[in-house]
Amino acid sequence: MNGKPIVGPGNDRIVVFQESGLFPWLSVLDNVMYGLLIKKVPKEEAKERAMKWLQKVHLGKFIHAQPHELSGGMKQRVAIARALVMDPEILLMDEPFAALDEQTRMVLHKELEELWYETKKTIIFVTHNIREAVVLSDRILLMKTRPGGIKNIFDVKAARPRTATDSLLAHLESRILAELEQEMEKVLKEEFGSDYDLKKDHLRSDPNSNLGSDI
Amino acid sequence: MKWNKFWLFAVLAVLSTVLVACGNDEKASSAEKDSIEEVRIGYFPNMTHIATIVGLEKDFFQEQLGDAVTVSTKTFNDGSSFMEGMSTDAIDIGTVGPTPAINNFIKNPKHEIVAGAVNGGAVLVVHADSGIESVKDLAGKTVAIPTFGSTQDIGLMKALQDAGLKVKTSGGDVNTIKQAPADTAALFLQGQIDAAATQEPWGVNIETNAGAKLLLGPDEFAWGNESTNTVVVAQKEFTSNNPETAKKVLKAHAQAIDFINENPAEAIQLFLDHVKNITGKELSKEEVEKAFERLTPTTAVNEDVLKEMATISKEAGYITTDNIDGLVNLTYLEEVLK
Amino acid sequence: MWPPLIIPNDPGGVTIIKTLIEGFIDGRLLEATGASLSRLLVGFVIAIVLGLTLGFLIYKSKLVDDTLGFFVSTLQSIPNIVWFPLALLWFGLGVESVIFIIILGATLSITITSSTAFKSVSPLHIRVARTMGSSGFHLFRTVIFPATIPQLIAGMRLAWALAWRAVLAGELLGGSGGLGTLLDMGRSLQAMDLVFSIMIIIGVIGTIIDNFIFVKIERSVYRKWGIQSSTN
Repeated sequence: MNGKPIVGPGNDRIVVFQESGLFPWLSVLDNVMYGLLIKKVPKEEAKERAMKWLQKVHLGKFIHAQPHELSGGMKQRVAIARALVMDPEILLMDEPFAALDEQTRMVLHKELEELWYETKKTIIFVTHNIREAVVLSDRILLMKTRPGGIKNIFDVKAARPRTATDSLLAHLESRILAELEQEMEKVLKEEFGSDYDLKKDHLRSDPNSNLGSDI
Repeated sequence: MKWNKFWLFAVLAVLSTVLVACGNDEKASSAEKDSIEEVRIGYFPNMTHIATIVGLEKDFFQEQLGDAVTVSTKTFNDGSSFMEGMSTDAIDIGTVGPTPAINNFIKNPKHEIVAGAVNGGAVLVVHADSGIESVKDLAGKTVAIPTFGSTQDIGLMKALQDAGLKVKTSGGDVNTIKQAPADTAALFLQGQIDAAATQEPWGVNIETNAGAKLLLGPDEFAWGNESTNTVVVAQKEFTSNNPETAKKVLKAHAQAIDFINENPAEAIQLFLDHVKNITGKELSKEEVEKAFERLTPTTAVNEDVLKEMATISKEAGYITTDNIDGLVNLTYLEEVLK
Repeated sequence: MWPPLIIPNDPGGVTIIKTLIEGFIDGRLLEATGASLSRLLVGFVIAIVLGLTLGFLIYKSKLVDDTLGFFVSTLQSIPNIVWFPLALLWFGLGVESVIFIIILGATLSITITSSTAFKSVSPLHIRVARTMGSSGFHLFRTVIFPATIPQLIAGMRLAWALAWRAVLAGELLGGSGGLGTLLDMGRSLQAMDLVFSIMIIIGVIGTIIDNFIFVKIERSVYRKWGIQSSTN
């Protein structure tokens, strides 16, 4: 990153995990201030910055609440605020919305997009949800399995703000799905036996027998 | 939740009153007179109980009681556990210091003093390095006693009274701690205590082995050589239900006392062997001979001394009254000595 | 021999309640209670400090865990009171031997509770703190230690109970003053009213400290953390 190799965690790249990981012994405000205090930011300033970001994620009324009083979606917003208040170079998000219900996820997608507009941060977002990837990203990296590595890179040239019914997105989704299925079958064949087939009623065929017609 | 706690407390309160009530049950008295088959004798491994020890070693008790009755024994280290044994019906008769007998009699008048055993034989020893030259120097020091409410405890209080001091538990500054006489020498050696009010032979034992010196000898400690130090005590139920058996036991006791006075050397040897068996402690003959000089076996009971003991005990807060009427019952002894 | 609870057997006789009240008025019971409680406090505070330090060391270093940790768990299986004869030889008949027993028992218990607690902190929280730039002692102070507070409180509740038992047993056997020695005196004099009075006091103190101090602390921490108690 910035020309230097990465060897471990550091606070110029903050992670938002799938579970918000908020400290239950601190209030929401103290949670967000935590990282700033490590950076030796003076307490008053840290408090101000934390409050600003909590307001940006629409949690201004909850700054003195305890984490257990918040819903899943609210906790993730706090986690995002906690990450962004540190002004990292890169924001790493590891399936942050996977544990939330559909409606909350939709709302959070919109909010994330707004925040991204405002901060212009580079966000690396890991997800298993193709739709989510397609709706949020500018660029999608599809990963291979066993061995790992990048299988393909897709540029998403849809207009922002994204609408769910954009046909370009739908097409991209099915393209990605098709490629993904190959990887999925590989894993499932290993787990269930080599005569397992993802598509039922499919004539058994070797995935390599297309003679390159899917390129 | 609150209601559950209430019921829990209620149950506990009921339970404790039931326990208390249970303790007050009377035992059913035995059917016939003198139908007892086992006589359980209690005593201490001290020289002041030499009458019982000689009586056992020479089988005087067994002889008098005949073959139909078994003689079993129990040893105690202090008057409290002896009286505990008697109150819980573990022993029928035995020798003990008079003060525990008095204290317990006030609370639970189920026993009586039927004879004397030894006068004198109690001393106050102090650590040689303690700098204590007189009783007055005991202020602020620590003194070992066999147990609270023991004859030596009361004897100590009397000695302190005469010097204007009091024990800690009565608001004074002389600290008393409880320690078995046989183990007191060890405490002296460790420097844990400054003095001990104890019975022979442990007085001599501490002097010889722990470098202690005699502060008050048997003629000066407590009531001096006339001090009733050990008495024979029996459960009232035992004596009233088995008067002939009781007299036989007392006859053996008197026999032992005569024997000791006529054959001191043999008595001393018997005592040595017996104590070695019971406590595992081997005392030297010189120690024991010296200790023997300090006591007087006798069947007499000095009732005035007992009354004074009761008064001191009351002042110490151990008992609520010093009226000991009914405690001393020498009728059986008188018949035996006729 | 067994005195009644409230109503005396004969007028002017002893009852448990009377002895209890009189004992407080003349200061005897109060002084003994104060002595026992002060020893408990001193020993317990030292035990907490020692226990947490040892727990931290065991958590931090595998070497310490393998050596000291094993030692601690073997020692813990020896009941406190078994140490008493040894304590008497080392420290004499005074207060020191009682406090030694308290520290020994309570420290071992707290060490084991705290080291286990530290080791079982949620890895998610640790990861979060690390990405924020925390490490070393800062990580311990701001994340690991606060994360274990509910468990530590439970551990301390256990340890205080052990300590209280140790105080009383030590006083009973050693004659160093306090409620235990008074109990022994009651037994020596066969003064069951005194014995029962002291038992009542001991029970009351135990209930107060457990119910009013520890349970309250536990409840407030649980409320803050949002932990639901399963027995409500």
